[in-house]
Amino acid sequence: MLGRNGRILRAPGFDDRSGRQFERIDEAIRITRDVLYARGYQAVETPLIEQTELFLRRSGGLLSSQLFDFVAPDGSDISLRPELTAPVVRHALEQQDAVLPMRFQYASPIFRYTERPYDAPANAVPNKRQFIQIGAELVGTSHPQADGEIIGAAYELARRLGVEHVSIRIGHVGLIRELLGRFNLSERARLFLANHVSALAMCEDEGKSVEEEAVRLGMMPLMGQQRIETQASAADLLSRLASGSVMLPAESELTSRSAADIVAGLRRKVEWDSANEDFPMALDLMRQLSKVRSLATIPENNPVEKHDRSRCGKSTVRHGDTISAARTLIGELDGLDDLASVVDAADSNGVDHLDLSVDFGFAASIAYYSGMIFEVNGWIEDEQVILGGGGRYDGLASALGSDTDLPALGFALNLDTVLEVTSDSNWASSDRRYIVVAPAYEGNVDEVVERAEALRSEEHNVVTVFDPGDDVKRLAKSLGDAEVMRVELTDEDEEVVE
Amino acid sequence: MNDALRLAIPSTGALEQGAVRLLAESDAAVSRINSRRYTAKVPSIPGVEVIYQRQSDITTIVDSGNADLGIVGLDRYLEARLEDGDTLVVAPDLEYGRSRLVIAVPDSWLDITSMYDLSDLSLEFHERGRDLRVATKYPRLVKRFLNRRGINYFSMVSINGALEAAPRIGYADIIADISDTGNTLRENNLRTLVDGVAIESQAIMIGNAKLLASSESKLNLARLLLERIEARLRSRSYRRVTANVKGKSEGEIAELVLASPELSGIRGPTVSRVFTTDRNLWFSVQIVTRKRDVLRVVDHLRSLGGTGTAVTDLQFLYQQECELYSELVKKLEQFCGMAVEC
Repeated sequence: MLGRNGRILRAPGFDDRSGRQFERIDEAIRITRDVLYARGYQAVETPLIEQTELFLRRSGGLLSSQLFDFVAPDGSDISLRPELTAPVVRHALEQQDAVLPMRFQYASPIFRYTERPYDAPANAVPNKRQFIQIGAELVGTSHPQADGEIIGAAYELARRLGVEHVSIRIGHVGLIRELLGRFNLSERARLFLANHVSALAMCEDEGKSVEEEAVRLGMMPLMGQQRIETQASAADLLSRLASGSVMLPAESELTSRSAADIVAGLRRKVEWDSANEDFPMALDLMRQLSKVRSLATIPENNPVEKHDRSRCGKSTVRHGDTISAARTLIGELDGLDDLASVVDAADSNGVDHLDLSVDFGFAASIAYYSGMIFEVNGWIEDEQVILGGGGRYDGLASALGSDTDLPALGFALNLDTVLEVTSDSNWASSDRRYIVVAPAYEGNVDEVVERAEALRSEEHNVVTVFDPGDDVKRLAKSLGDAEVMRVELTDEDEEVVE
Repeated sequence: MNDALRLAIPSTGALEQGAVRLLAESDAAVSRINSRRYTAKVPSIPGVEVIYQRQSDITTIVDSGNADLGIVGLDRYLEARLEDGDTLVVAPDLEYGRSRLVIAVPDSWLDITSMYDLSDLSLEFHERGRDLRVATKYPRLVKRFLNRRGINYFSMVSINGALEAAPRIGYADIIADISDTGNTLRENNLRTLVDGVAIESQAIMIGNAKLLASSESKLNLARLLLERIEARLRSRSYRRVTANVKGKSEGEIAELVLASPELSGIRGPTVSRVFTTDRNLWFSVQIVTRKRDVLRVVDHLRSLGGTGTAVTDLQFLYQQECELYSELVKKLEQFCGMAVEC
């Protein structure tokens, strides 16, 4: 992209960081280090580039569609990292004789491509494509207190970074999967329902669009005429193949799949079709469950209704009531007990219960989460903003090739968003003082340099000016009202200070 | 600086025919000396030059400033566009060239009917140590669509000829291609998946914002062209209904027609005296109405005693301002207000 006179511009979505903004980032990273070192999390820096496969194994469709992936000059498929959890877990798996659990912290840039809609206004600010993620991963423990530690660390970090009204929303992916395991459903139908929990929680159409999608994809068993009008089911096709009323083309015409492959595929679908008889019941229960939630305290002048209006049903105030309401609806589940323990653990790790909400209509956007998930929220004026989140991802290590099951969890905050929600006054200005050393006239630059060196050896920060005509006052102002020193060669070693 | 307005249009296929037809209908007919020549004129708008180019190149040609305007399929534009480049959409729908970019599998794959099935199959292939091979001329759009549907293990096969044959000859497993009726796919034993539409497309007009913003002459030529195209496209949705109605005066007839405001035309009826040999007073009533309301308007006029009702097409329908041009000016202002200087 070129500007006037062929000047090369920044790639869209990528920002330069300098001056005050750079200082704020520096300071935020220092705070992050302090908060997480205090809990034993060791800093790690993984490469900017990883093998693409690392991010495809368990991340899911959204993240893989946001990859900056390309073929390296050596022919391998590589990507700029879109997140840090998978690289850190990869790093953890490479540690020999590691003492479990391992604790890692990071503050590093990540890259995610988001499309600019073709009909977006020409002056729309391009979506950011590079962010700094700050976060932590706790690898090798399944203890609920570990969940509390991670939630507590995320909460404390956001507060220490100056975010006001930090709130934490907790959900549980494992509980949803466990609940769906009670029904006679295909794996695909389970995945579909688990992925649509948030859509079911919305008031807009009472989950009708989810139901329509399920019908279109053949997951929702149809009755009567509706069934006849839809395309032939896998069972119909199998029986027609058996009776000879439908023939598969000759083996040579089957492209890359054999007749046996196709028949096996049909048999699998028949099993799923019969398994999905429970789908309507499961959908209905998920619809009800997705509406059960408690709310965190909302800042003053921000009515609850405004932030909760897109959701159906009424929220409770106490988390215990929320979990009880869910228990009444779905009965006993290990996931419910785990969730209750996590809420208690978060409390004992310093999270104010008024800043916590439990939400059964909360689903994760990244596919590797397996248990508790959470979101960290802040506010910009009266709009709630997601600062980041995390959760438990017990299956990721195995998916990345670990021989042993390695339970793990973590969180990450988007530092760019954190800086947006915190005002500049929260951040200490740099106390770095400068002296500007400038020549009084042409020809005494050597003396200026020598004088500057002498001052530096006395631990002063010194900026040298080479041309006596330079605007020294403006330079001094840009350096935070620096002291100005004019060096004049009147006699050897003699100088004048302004 | 050359102040002619260069309009790039596709050199072959349905998009070319549609563009030439639309321009002719819009009183901006293209005059091409012979079919081997790749430039042409629009005699009714002196200053407009037409450049014939491959459809797949038009977006790049406009973005690089080698043409000011271009007519192209939305699919091709999205495949080739520079997201933050100099090109913007001038007319989002030229009302022809409708098509869909679809994922199609061999018809014999009876077990694969949805993208979920395809997602499972790609994993199955991956476990067997191979990728699902997708033949397409739209790698950028298809990759994003497949990723969003949770399909990560696939490879793109580039092909220049007819894609439909790729699965049969073993060059690819499935294809992603443009289909308008689905006939070509069916004839080649391919089938579209139920949720396999990557995008819906139509012909659009694009423009180079920098060039248009920096030349009053080009912008004025663009206005002349857009005025005609918009008036032509708008006229397709309207009809003129004319009937003779007996009455006492123009005012009385107008009042009766206006009793049903929704059937009285865009602004209201035109009523004028018809001079006849009989002693009755006859008036001609003219109403310009939406195509879908024609029969209701005819019935309304009949109920007033209307007779000899004629319904005619409109050639052009101009409104107070050209919306496409106003929108273009707004977009250029936004564009020039950005860090990118015009």
